[in-house]
This record gives sequence, structure tokens and C-alpha cells, in this order.
Amino acid sequence: MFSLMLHKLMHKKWMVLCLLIGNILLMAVAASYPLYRVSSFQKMLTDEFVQYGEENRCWPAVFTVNHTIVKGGRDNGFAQVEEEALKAVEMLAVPVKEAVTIYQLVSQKAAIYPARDGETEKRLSVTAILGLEEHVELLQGRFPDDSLDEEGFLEVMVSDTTMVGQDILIGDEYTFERSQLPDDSPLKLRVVGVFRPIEENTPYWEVVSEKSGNQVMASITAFQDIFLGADAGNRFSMNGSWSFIWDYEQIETSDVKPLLHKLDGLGRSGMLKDRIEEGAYLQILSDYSSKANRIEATLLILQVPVLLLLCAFLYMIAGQMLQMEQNEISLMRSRGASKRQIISLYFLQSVFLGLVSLIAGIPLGAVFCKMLGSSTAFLEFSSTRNLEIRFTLDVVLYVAAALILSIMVTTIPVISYSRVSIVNLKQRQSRQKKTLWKKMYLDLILLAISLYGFYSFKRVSGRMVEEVLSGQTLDPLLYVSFSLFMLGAGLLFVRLQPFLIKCFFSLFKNHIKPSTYASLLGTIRTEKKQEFIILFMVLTVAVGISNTTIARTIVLNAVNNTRHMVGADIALKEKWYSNRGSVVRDSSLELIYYEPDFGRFQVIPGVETATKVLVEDEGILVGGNDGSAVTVMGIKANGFYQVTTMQENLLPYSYEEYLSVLAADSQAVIVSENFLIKQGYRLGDTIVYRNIDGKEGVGYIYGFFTYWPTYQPTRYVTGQDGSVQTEDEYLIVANFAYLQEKWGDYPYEVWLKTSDGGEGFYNWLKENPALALTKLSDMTVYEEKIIFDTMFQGTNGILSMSFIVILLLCCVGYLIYWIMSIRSRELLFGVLRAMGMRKKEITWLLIVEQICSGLFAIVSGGIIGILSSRMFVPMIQQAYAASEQVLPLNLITRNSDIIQLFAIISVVLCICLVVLGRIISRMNISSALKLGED
Amino acid sequence: MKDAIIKTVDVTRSFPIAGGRNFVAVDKVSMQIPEGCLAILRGRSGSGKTTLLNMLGALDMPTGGEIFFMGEDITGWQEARRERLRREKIGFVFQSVSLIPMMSAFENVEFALRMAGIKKKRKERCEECLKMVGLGGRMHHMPQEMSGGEQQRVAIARAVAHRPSIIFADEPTAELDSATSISVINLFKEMVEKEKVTIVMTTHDTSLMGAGNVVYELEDGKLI
Repeated sequence: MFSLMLHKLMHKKWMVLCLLIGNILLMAVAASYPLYRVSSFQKMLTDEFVQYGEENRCWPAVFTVNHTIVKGGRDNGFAQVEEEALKAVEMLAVPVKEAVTIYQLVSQKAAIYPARDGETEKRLSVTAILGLEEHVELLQGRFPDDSLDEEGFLEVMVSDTTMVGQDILIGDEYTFERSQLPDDSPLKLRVVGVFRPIEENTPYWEVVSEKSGNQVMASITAFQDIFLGADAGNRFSMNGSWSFIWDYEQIETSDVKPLLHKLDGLGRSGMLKDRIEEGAYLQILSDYSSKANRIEATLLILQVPVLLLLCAFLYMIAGQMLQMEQNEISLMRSRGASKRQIISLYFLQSVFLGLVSLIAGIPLGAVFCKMLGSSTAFLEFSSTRNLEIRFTLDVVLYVAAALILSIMVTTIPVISYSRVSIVNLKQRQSRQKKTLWKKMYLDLILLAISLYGFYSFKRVSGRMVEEVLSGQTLDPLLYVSFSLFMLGAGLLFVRLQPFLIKCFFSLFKNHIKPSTYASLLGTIRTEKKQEFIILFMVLTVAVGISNTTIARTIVLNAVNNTRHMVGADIALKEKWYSNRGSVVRDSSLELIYYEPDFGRFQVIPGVETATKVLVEDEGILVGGNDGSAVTVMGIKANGFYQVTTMQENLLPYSYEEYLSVLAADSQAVIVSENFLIKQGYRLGDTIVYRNIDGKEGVGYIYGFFTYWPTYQPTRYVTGQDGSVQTEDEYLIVANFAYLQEKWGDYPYEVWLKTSDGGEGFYNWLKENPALALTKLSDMTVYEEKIIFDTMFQGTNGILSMSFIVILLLCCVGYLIYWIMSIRSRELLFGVLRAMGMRKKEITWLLIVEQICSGLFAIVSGGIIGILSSRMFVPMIQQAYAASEQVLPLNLITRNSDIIQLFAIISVVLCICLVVLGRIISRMNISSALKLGED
Repeated sequence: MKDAIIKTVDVTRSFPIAGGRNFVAVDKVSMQIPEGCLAILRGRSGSGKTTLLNMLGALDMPTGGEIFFMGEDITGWQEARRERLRREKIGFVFQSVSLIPMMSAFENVEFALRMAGIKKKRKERCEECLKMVGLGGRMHHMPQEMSGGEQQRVAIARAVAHRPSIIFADEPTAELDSATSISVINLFKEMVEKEKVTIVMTTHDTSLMGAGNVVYELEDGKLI
């Protein structure tokens, strides 16, 4: 049977090629998702750790167990806890870079000998750290001994910083009068060495230094013998801590959930309950986990349309192939082949093709994955970013599922064909039945369902933002409605197509050329055959348009919004020094800030404009609604105008007008609209405010605005119970000069407009390492963050990939459909030629057919694409909404995208036409008519 | 004898085959077909009769010799001119089913009129022709719903509809049983009589030779 199948396949090379293409793409798409998920999520996880580490300047993954022994308590040592801690670490199974065990007596006062500078007592904490010797170098003296010396002293050493900070010298002796050793003598220390960390900026020292300050280091053996030994009793209060520095880079994404679960279990019960220090890793892991869930669900659902189309494609090709083979099938049936034999023949074929595609599909999936990882916008890829490809079990599962799906889709149509014997084949061919979906009005049903979905989602769209912000996924049904809408509308257009042609035909049938007549009549009479290919094209165009709209919209809205929130290309704030320290001591002094040199910023190469922007976000309103919090912004109108941008049509008057009104009167202020709506202020009202230092300012309201650079009218606040609430924000924009006059020199921000993407500024920053910045917001950095955010990038990538796959399918499907259609009509063309039809007219006939199917599909696909984008993209965008989405959503379809889209489709159509043209021109009438004497 | 509607002088058609040689399908055939007759070209399979018929019908061009159609030498005509000739002056009936599958019997016949550029009284003419071939009652049936004989008769109606001067029929009875074949031949005779049309048909069936007014026999591309 295998050889029969191979033989069969060899004879249908083109169809087999199509099936292979479809199958390979299916496998590749199926494989690319888990591949991308693993590698991008891995990157995301590592990035979260790195980011936390950078922001907080600490190692983000340290697992620490603490245990305290109380003097006189019943606790008999650390051994048990230590053992449990080690067990726990082993169970958690995160690779440990380094373990740090610290034993430390609770600090106590010790008498100093010899006393210096009149100081007779010092609080010291005797500490022992496992393996300390390997991490330090001695500056002076020697390492402490492992036992008490002959005079009964415990030898200790100190770090150089402790030496300086605590004023400790080698040879110093300390006596803890109240801490008795087992022989009832007081604990005595002698300093024998001073050390320095070999390498300070390591996680090891981070852990160690957390507990430092007044530590004197004893040898761990001595510590154990003296304070924890069998006869030590519970004479000392002490802490033990076991820290395990995790190598977070080795935490796999698949480990996260089990890890969180195990940590939860440890915290709930058992010996370590309440003894595990709550580390940063916990928050990082759980944040990652919920973010990953959200992204995973979104990306998965974005893949569904392309997977469905791939299946439909395979179904179509399998169906076409069967149609070509139905003679053979019915012949086999009449010759006694059972239905089962025929089905198993085709089953074998599907399995064979599926397995062959697997070989090419998985590498292609890896290529797709790289593509996903490098996408920066819709159909735009950057080669600078590479994802590491990692094959996991998931890949196998997804590909296996795709294989089963492909086998099912290509075998199922056989069942109906296998019933037909040669006798009922002819009867079957003679009738043109209505397709099932038309009889069922599937198009209208799907449209109704999707519209219902659309309106119900629209009603609750406000709540949806809140849900997304609290970490939930956007309801998958929204995407389903979106897809159903396109499918339903597509089907509706497919239903309309023959109807429109019929109308045209019956109106003009006596006025059109014979070739047009034959073409239109043919289209009408074979409508069922074309349904599929037309639907395919409609969906290709519709999906293309809505994909580019989604991709552009989410990214550009996020970028624009961020730009709005940052205000300028770069916004920074230098550290200002003041005489606050003196003022605290002597309240009669006036608080003075020392202004750093602003001129430096103006001369940085690449900086076009620099302007001072005073932002007092802890201002207080005086009078009226006394005491409410306001933000006061002091600007220099001209400079501000130059460095900021404001989207058009957001303000009732032009941005320039606002700024010039402000500049005209030094005491003018323009304020956010909620002053008008919620606080009852009117134009011309006087508004009094105060900065955090209590200095006042008075302004006259010259205007209200809803949008202003950096201004966010409401802020989402997550409450204690996890609910999301909104809070109003008030902003007063005043003249910088006025505020300076009233408040004196007051810390301001510097906003820069750059012409080189900030390059010059960063160079300058490097040259001035002493500059202390308390704020630095760089638009370029944020923009990059948005583009490479896993959620955005995954979305862009998947949408681009889907489109490319659909386009390929459409191209292959279209070509194969028309080649088959022409091949099957060679005889007909021969007849037409014999009747005197010119080649040109035959070509025209085909062009009319292309107009009826291709052009119709493109136009209706365009309509559906635009319509569905208008309806659904604003809602889908919410899945990507950040909590600070301020600007109204702009639906962005770039003309260049649409042109690109249509250009690609046109190229595809042209290729098809050229191929078809070649077939026609090669067609010989006599051979077509089979008039030869063969 | 009436004027010859078609006259050939040493018509030859050869095809290049492997080895740089030529296969001569029709070899120096000179013949005359008088107007208003049923001419039969007989020959075994491979004798070159279809190749000859294709050349007579301006579907194919000879590699040597001349063909005169109603006195004009059509040998060197451009494709466009020959297409026009086919559209207006010639009708074809082919061996296998040659109807346009997505058109009904009526539309098939009407299409020939459209092709010939005839605009007036199309409906009447179509009905007339279909009645003539005995299918007046099945005018709006699709080809797939008809038997082979019925389809061939529609093809004949279509070939005659635009009142061509000559109809070429290539093995019109090859796929029909003998009774139907005879009825087709009788139909041809009737056409020649009623429509004053010349019909040239090929056949390998010796039993039909008696029906023709003129009979040529071909063997290995040569007239015998």
C-alpha cells in the first residue's frame, strides 16, 4: 500500500507540494510558539532579576533562613535549623552560587582596654562567618586562633571599615562583664588582625555587610566550641543565618511555578516557618508569573486565526486533490476496494506527508522564533537582537498536536469521497448544490455572535482596563469575537459575490463581449468551487490590515503615551545641596538651595534646547479645598514649547496659545480641568498654593487643560485588597520666573531636546562621573523598552508571522487553484479557440475571472479589515494598556503599511497572473482539443 | 460540379521529432471539396485525417502547399485573420464532448452567435437550430444532464447556428453507438439540404462512407 501511495503522490507533484507547504507551515507555526515562549520568557525572567538588582543595587536572589537563640531558652543550638535549611535549599533545587553561614552574638557592651579618648565601653557583636578567610586579605596582624588563648582571650579580627568606624586597633582587649563563659569568667576578646574584602562588590559581601557595623570576627571553630559547644549551655543570645546566593540566571521558566509553590509550602508549615527571610526573589517570581500568564494567554490566542487558516488551507488542498482523484477512487470502489482500505490509503498518505513536513517544519519553526524575537514593528525586524533557541518538551507536544491536526484535516474529507462509486459519481458531478454553510446561514450567525460579543464588551470596557491592571488576562472571548467577525463578514461577502455578478450579468449580458460573457457565466455557474479561495483572500487582506493596525496601534500608543509622560527627550534632575542640616539645628536660618550650573546642559553637543522645569509634586492647595495635594509646575514658556510636543486636537485651543497666555502675565497659571469640574474654580479665579517648604505662590487662572506634558488626570491605585481605584491628580502650571521670585532657588528639572538620540548627552555624562542625578528619564530608552517588551514584541512578531504565513498560503492556494482551474479547462479553451476566440480574449476571460475573485476579495477584505480594526482594536489595545495610559487612544493605520500590504498582495497576484499567462500562451489549441491522433 | 469551397494544392504538414528528423503527418494532399456537400475523410487512426482537417479549418497551418478557402489562399494568413474566419465562416464539431460545460444547450448555441457577432434574432435562431436537431424540449438542460448523442447534437446545432459556410466535424460519431451515429449522419445530410452548408467530417468507420457525397481516403498522410 505504501508503494501505491508513493506512486500516487509522484503523479500529483503540485498538489503534494502544496500539502507539504501547508503542513510545514503548520508545524513551523506550532513549533515557533513554544520555542519563542521559552526563550523570550527566559529572557524576561532574567531581565526582571537583573532590573531589580540594578535598581536596588543588590543581588536579587538570596534565600535566607534566620534563627535566634535566646539566652536561657531551651533551644539547643543551630544544628537542626541548619539541617532543615540545607534540606529546603536542596528541595528548592535552585543552583546556589555561594552559601554564607553567619553566627552572631547579640551585640553587647564591652569594657575597653586600653581606654582611648575617654571611651570606656563599646557595643560589639562577636561574629563568625564560615569561610571568611577565603574572602579577605589581612592588612595587619593575623587570623584569629581556633581556640581561646592561654590567657582566656577569644581572638578576633576586624574589617578596615570597622577599624576606622569603631576606632579599634590591633591589641585592643574587650571584656563582656555580663556574658559568662561556662567557667563563669567573663568573655574577653583580643583584636589580632585587620582585614579587607578581596573583592567588595560581590553578593557574598552584600550578604555579610547587611549584618555588619560593629562586628568583630572570631574563628568559626572557636565560636562553635565556645558558644555552641555541648557544655556551653544557653548563656548567650545569638542569631544564626544561612544565606544561599542563588544563581538566578539558571532559574528556568518552568521552575518558577513549582518554586513558588514550594516556597509557599515552606512558609506555611514545618521548622522553617517564620524563619525564612522574605527575599526580593519572591516578588520578582510572582510578578513574573502573573505577567507570563497574561502574555502567554494573549500570544496563544493571537496564534489561533493563523492556525485555523492553515487547517482550512490543508482541508482545501486535500479536497482539491480528492476531487482530482475521485475517478480513481470510484474506480477502486467499483473494483471492490472497501471504504476502509481507501480511507487507510489516504490516512497513510497524510501520516507520511505530515512526518516529512516535520523534518522541515521544526527548523523553520526555529527561524520563525528568531523572527519573532527580532521584530520591532509589524513586518519590521531588527537583526541586532537574537533569542537563544532552546528545544523543550513543549515543542514536541505542540508539534505532535499539529501533526494530529493535520492528519485529521486531510483525512476527514476522504470519508465522503470514499462512499462514491463510479455510478453515483456522475450524478454527483451534474448537480451544483448549495454549500452547507450557505444553507445554515453560518455567515449571519457568526456575525450576530461577534456583534453580540462586541457590544457586550463595549459596555464593560472600563472594567476591562481595571481587570488588566490587576493582572488578569483580557477576556479571550474578545479575540474570538474579533476572529468570528472577520470570518462571518468574509463569508457574507463570499455569499454576496455571485449575487453581485448575477445582477451585473443579467443587466448587461447582451452588451458584453463574448469572452466577458463566458467568463461571468462561468463564475456564476462554478461559484461553489471559488468560495474557498475567495474567502481565503478576503481573510488574508482583512487579517493583514487588522494585524498591522493592532501592531502599530499598541506600540505607537504606548510610545506616544510614554513620551507624553516623560515630557521631553530627556528629563533629568540633579542633586541639589542645601543648608537643611543647619536649618534643622537652628530654625532661625532660612532654607537655601544651592543651584548647580545650568549652563553646562545648554552646551552639550547634540542637545538642541535645554529648559528648566520646576516640578513640585508635593504642593498643597491653600484656601478653597484647603490642604489638597497639587503638583505645581513652573515653566519657561518658550523653552518648554521647544522641548515638549503636544498631539494636535487634544486641547480646546492650540498649545501655543496656552503657552503665550501664560507668558503674558507673570502671575498667570493654567490648571488642570478637574479644578473646574471638581473644585469649582473658574477662569480668572485666584489660586493659592504652597510648596513643601511652606512657601506660597498666588496665581490667576488663565485657562484649563485636560492634557499637559507629564500630566495624568487620574491615577490607578491598587488598594490593600487588590482592588483598583482611581485618584484625581491636580496640576498647576505657573511661570518659572514667578516661582523663582517667590520661592527663591528651588530644585528644578532640566528637560532636553536632543538631535542625536541622546548620544552626546551620555558621552557628556561619562565625562562627568561626579554629577549626581536624582532623576533621569530618557525617551529613547523607554521606547526601546516598549518595543522589546515581551508582550509587545511577541504580539508584533506573531502578527507579522501570521500575516506572512497567511500571505504565503494565499499565494500558494491562489496559484494552485487557478492552475488547476485552467488545467481542467484546457479542453474548454480549445473549444473556444476553435470557435474563433482570440488568445487575447481568452486572457481577458481569465482577467475577468481574476477581477471577480481576486479584486473582489481584496476590496472586500479591505473593507472588513478596516471595519474590524475600527471596532475591535481599541478594545484589544486595552490588553496592552499601561496604568498610566493618558492620551486618548489613536487607531493607527499607517498608509505606508497599507501600501506595503497591497504591494505585497499585488506582487503575489502578478506572479500568479504571469504563471497563468505562461500556461495559456503555451496552450496549443489542437493539443488542448486532443484532436491529435493519439 | 459546383464550385469548390475548399481546394488544396500539395498540402503538407510535418512535425519535428527526436533526432532532428521530421514526421510527415500529411503528405502533399491535393483535393477539392465542392460547396453544399457532405464530404467524408476516411482513414485509420494515425492516417493524418485530423491534421488535415485542422488545416482545412484554419486551426493549424501547413508546412508546405496551399489551401484555398472560397478561392482565397489562406495559407499565409495571420492568426487574427484566421480567427475571424473561424468565427464567421466555420463551425466545428469535435469527437469528444465539446460543449461549454457551464452553459446550457441553449446558451451553448447562443454563444456561437455571440462569437460571430450576430445580435439580432438570436433567440429565434437558437430555438430553430435546437429544434432542428430534435432537442427543442431540452433547450435549458446542462450538458452534464444529457447523453452523449444529445450533446453531440447540441454541438451540431451550435456549429450550424451562425450560418457558417462550412462545418468541420472530427470523428463526430466515434463515441456514439451505431444507431446514434446514423442519426447524426442523417442530421448532417438534413443540414446540408436545409441550411445549404458544406460539411466535412472525418471517420474511421467504413460503414458510414456511403453517406457522403464526396469521400476521400487517407493512408499514411497520403490520399489514395
